[in-house]
Amino acid sequence: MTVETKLRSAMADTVSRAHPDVDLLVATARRRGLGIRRRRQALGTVGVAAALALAVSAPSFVAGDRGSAPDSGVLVGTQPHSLGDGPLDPLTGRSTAAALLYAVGLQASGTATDIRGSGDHHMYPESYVIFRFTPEGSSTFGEVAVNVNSGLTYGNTKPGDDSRQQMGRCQAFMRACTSTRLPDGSRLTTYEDPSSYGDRRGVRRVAELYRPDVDFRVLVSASNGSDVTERDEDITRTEPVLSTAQLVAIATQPWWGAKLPAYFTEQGKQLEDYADRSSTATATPTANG
Amino acid sequence: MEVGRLVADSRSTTSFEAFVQATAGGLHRTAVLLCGDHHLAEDLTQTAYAKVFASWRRVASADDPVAYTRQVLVRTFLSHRRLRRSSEHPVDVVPDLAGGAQDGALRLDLLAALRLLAPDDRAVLVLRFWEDLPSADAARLLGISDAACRQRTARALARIRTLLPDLEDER
Repeated sequence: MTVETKLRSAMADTVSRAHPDVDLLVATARRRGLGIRRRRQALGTVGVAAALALAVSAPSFVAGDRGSAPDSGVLVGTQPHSLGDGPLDPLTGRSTAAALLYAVGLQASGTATDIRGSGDHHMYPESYVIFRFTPEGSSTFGEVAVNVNSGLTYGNTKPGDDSRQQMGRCQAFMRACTSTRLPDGSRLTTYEDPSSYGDRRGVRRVAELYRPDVDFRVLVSASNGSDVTERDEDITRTEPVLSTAQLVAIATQPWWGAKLPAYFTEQGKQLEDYADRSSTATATPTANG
Repeated sequence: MEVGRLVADSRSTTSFEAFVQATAGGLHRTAVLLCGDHHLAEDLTQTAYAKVFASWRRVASADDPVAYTRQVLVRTFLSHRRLRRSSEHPVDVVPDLAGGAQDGALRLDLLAALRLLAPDDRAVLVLRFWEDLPSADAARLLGISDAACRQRTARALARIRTLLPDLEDER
C-alpha cells in the first residue's frame, strides 16, 4: 500500500464520524451572512464619509517632529511620553495597537493606516495587531505587526506539545536567523520569512522575544508590502519598512506583557483608524467570497 | 475517496438550505482536516457558508457552486492564517510523535500531525489526497503554479511521513 493510499485511508478514518449540525449550520450561516451583507451595504454608503473624517482628524496620536504631514492616517513620531511606573490594564487589541504605534514611533517616523487588531480575551491574554506603515519621505508602505501571547494562549498545549521548546530556535523556513539568549534569560530570535509566491520578492522580517520565566512571547514583524508571504501578496518596495535592529528595539520594550500601561489603554481608545477583528478571526473580509 | 468529496449535484439544489444539507458533511470533514480541530472546523465551515449565503444569488448561478464553496473554505482557512500567522509555528524538522504506532494510534495522531504542518502544507495534502483534486486544480485553488504544487505536495508528504511512520511505503 502506498503512502498516498494510506494517507487517504487515515484521513477517511479520522473524519468518518465528523458530522456537522446542519440545522445549526444553516441558521448560523444565514445570520452571519446577513451581517456580511449589511456590512457591505454600510461600507458602500459611509466609505467616502469615513475617509474624509479620517483625513481631517488624523494627527491625534503619538505626535512628534515629523516634517511634512501625509494626507491621512495616524502620524507616528519620535516624541516619547513618560510611561513611568503607572497603572497597568489588561491587554486589548486597541491598547496593543497603541503600544505598537508608540514603539514604532520611537524608531521611525511615518504614517500608519488600516490598523486592525484582535485580542480582548480577559482569561487568556493574547493580542494581534497589524497596520500599514509608510515611512516618512517614502511613497511605499509595508505592514508592521505584533503578536503578544501569554501563558496558555501560546500554541498547542496538548500533551506532547513542544511549542515552548521550539521558542528561540532557528528553523528551516527562517532565513538569516539568529538566536540569542539575553542576560535575563529571555530568548531573542530574528529572521526573515521569504515569500514563496510570485517572483519571491516578498519578505517578512521578524524579531521574536520569549520570556520563559513568565511564559510570555512577543513577536514583531515588518514586511515590504501587504499580505506578504500570502497567496495574494502585494509587494510595494524592495526592503521591509523596518530594519531588524528596529524590530529588536520594539520587541524588547519593557512594557510588553499580559498587561500594558494604562496610557496605552487611553491612547487605544482614541484610535480612529482601528478595526476590531476579534469576532472575525476566521472570516477576514479580504478572503474571497 | 468519494466520502471526502462534496458529492452533491449543487445545480439541482434550489435553496441555500438544500445546498447546505447536501454539501455540509463533506465540507465539514474537509475543514476538520484543514484545521486539525473539530471546534475550529465548525467555525470555518460556518464562515464559509456565511460568505456563500452573503452572495448566494451569484454562487447559485455559478458553474460549480460546490467548487466555489470549497475554494471559499480553503481560502478562508489560509486567510485565517494571515491574521493569526504569528501565533502559529509550523515546523520544518518535525518530531517523531507516532513512534511505531498501531493503526488505532495512526488514526488518533493524524490530526495532531496535520496541526504540526504549515497551513499551506496541510491545505495541499487535504486537497490532493482528501478532495482528490489533480495537482493543476489544487494549484489553481492555492494560487500557485502546478510545479510549485507538486513540489509542495512532495514536501508535505515527506513531513507527514516523518510524523507518522506507519505511513511508510511498503512497496
